[in-house]
Order: sequence, then structure tokens, then C-alpha cells
Amino acid sequence: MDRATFEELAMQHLDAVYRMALKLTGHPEEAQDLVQETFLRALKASERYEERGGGMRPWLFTIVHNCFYTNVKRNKRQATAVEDFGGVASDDRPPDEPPPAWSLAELDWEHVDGRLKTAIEDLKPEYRTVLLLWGVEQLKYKEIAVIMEVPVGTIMSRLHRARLALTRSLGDLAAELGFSTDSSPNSETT
Amino acid sequence: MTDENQYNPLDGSPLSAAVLLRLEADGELPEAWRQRLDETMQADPHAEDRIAFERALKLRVSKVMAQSAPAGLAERVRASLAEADPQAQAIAPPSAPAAPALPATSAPAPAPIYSFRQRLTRYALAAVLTLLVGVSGFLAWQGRNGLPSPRSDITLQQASTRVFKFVDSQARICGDLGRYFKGKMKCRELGEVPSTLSEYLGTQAPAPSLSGSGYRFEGAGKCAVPYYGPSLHYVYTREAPSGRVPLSLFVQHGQAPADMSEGSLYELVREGAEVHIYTWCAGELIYYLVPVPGDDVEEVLRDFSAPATRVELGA
Repeated sequence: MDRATFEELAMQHLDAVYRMALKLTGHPEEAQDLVQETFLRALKASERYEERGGGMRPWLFTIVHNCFYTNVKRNKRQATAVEDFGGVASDDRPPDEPPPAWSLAELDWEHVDGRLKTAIEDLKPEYRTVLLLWGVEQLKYKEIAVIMEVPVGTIMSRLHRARLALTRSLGDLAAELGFSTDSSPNSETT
Repeated sequence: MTDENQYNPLDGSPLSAAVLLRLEADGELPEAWRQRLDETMQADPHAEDRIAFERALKLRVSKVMAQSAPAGLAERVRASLAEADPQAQAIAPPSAPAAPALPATSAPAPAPIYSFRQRLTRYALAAVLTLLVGVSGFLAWQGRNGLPSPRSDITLQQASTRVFKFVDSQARICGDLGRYFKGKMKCRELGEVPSTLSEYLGTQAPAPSLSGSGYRFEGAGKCAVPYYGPSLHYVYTREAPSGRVPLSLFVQHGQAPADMSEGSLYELVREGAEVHIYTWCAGELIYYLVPVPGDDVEEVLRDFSAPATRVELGA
């Protein structure tokens, strides 16, 4: 693939790659460096690229993900272990949960979005990444699993825990705003 | 195996109602489990609320996390792609199409006669146009080379993290002497460096030899070390039991940051990194050295006449 073709196919996903880089690094400047490295590596590997439907986006996601974790390993930083849930105890399967007593529609969107942003930023990078690929990029569990090179079950579990953290955070907001939260997922034990 | 890996409803594990509802909300429920979901929906009065909540949450997440790339990133990426593309470097820019030939019968038009005031206005316009072309040419040159405006007001301490990451990653990417290296490196002979790369650097490009320390010059090319001006990347290798190992030198032309003294050698140290990066300035040139991990760097630094006074900086 020549550079012009590569550029045409790849650059349309710049925003998506940047979003993922930002969620991985947590820093705008580092994210830009990571995006540049990703596109350079992608160009270098473009002869091996095969269109499998869905365009170049999933392939670029795989590269940005690999670049980030390769750098982490290379710098001998402590890579986040899959087992580490940041203090949230784990179990074999998520228990059944009642729906929140409050409704998102009842809450003020500005409040909701502000609280969600904070809760998302508090998540670990691998949880934020899953949330991004699922929520913004609308990828399927299997596609996310391929990109992140983990089993589908891991993706589902991460997604479950990320959603749980967000729901709890919104539950706190609902309580602060005076909504009843008796059956909110806050009572859930995990 | 962690609990994360054990939790996989798609492999036929027992399903909780919550998982079924979430799969349904995400549009991921396998058809084989549709009946089970229906039973759950009938048994649980909150099931529909749960699905609605999960969908609303996904929508809010997508709105909160949606973000565009910052202005300028596309240009930066395009510039680096162009720089990395070996084919593009070999192709000369297309020349302007030749002007159509005038009919042989056409006579030259008489030169118009202008008043002094008209001539003055034309000269002034020409001067402004020349200035504009010069400025836009400079900006285009910067854009083409992926260079930010030189920023000597950024201190080395402020720049150290980004510079470290950039220099370290470029050293690694080029270190395998592969396709990226081949596309980037314009000179394969040290003697060619001054004649080929001085114009880009904006000053006489140095041609440092490390043969005395056992290093072989592999190539040099344009680079875009952040902040202080245009830069070149030199790659050397030396023999090692594991094969040839690379050493990178970056030379940047620009005004050194205010906190960088010409008589000092700065050792950029990044926690957990395999190597330290050494930087020093001499005149209008700033040097960044990425040694071979584990190598004794002192001999190489002496070859470069790097300052002896050492200052350690966290990057």
C-alpha cells in the first residue's frame, strides 16, 4: 500500500485513535506522541494490513494499544495486572442487580455528565479503554477482545466493573440530589 | 487464570439475569439464549428498566468520552508520515505545467507606461507579496518537517519528559535499521552529511565519527525533536555478542533553553527506562545522545567533546 492510500484510509480515524491514546495515557501531550508513533508504525506495517470489514479503525486500535503497552513494558513501569481491580473485590460472576431506583432521565444531564467524567477518569486505563471502545466506538465485545488481546470474558468483566463504578457514582449523585436510592446498585457486593 | 477470564457467558457458563439483560442492552445476546432472556423478563418486573438504564448509560458515556484530536495533530502526523516514506522522498515534486506556446503570429505587446505613483504602488505591493511568500514559505517548511515553532522559552526541565520520550522512541524505531530507518536516513556516508543536510538544519551539519570508540556510522536524516528547532538524527552501531547494537545522536539547531549551560552535560533520567539520555549544547547546536543500554558511555562522550560537569534531570 503506498503512503497516499494509507493516509487516505488511516487519517479518517485520527480522532478515534487520539481518543484511545488519550484514555490510555491520560495526558494530551503524551497522547499526541503516541498517535504519531502509532501512525508511523502502521505505515511501516501497512503491507501486512488486510481489510476484514470495518475499515482500518480496529487495526489502528490494535497498534495504538500495543504501542502503549510496549512502551510501558520497555520503561519497566509496573503494568497493571489483570487481577488488580483497584481495591474492588472480585468474584466469579457478577451477581444479579436490581435497577437503580432513580432514572437517568430524572437527573440533570449537566450533573450526570460531570459526575460521569470524574468517574471515568478515576478508572484504570484498561477499563477506560474498554468503555471507550464499547461506548464511543460502538465495537462488539469480540472486536474489543481482539484489539486488547484478552479473552471476551475479560472484556465483559471489565465492562461490567466499569459500568458498576459509573452507576455507583451516579447513585451517589442521585442521593445528593434527594432521590431515593434504596435499591440502587450501591448495595451490591462485589 | 483470573476471575475475569472465568466470567464468559459466551462460552456457555451459567448466566445471571444481570448479564443476560446487559447482553440484550448491548445487542450481544446470542439467539440461543433468547428464551432464557424472555423468561427473565417475565419473572423480573425491573428487567425492562435495567435494559433502559444500561442503554441510557451507554449513550451518556459516548457523549462524555467523545473527543476530537487537537488542532495541528493531523498536520503533525501527515508530516511525519511524509518524512518516513522512502518513496515520497525519491519523487521530485511535480513541476508546474509548461505555459502554452503563443501563436507564432502574435506580436509582442507594447510595454505599458506607468506614472511614478503607479510604479511606487507596484513596488510596495511587490515588497509585501515577497514578504508574505517568505513568511508562508517558512511556515510551510516548518509544517512539512513537522516542526513546532522553536520555543527557547521552554526550559529543559519543562521539555525533558517530552524530549526524552520522542528521542527514545525515534532511537528505538530506527535502531533496527529497517524500513523506517531506510526511509528516514538521507545519508549513508558520514562525509555526505554536511552537503546534504546543512540546508535543512540551517547551519553546517556536523559529521561526528565514532570509529575511535568502535562505532560504525549507519545513516543520518531529518528529525523533529520538539521545541528548539530543526534537528538531525544520526545512527551508529557497534558489534556485540547479540549482533550489532545501535547508538543514536540527535543534533538540533536552535537557541538553547535558558536553564541549559554550555559547560554542562545533562543526564536525563526517566524512572524505569533502560537508558539515560545525555544532552549538552555547543553554540547553536543542542546534542542528545541515546547510548546502547548498559554501555560505558564515557568514551563516546569524550569523542563528542561533551562537557564534563554533569547535571542529572528527572524526565
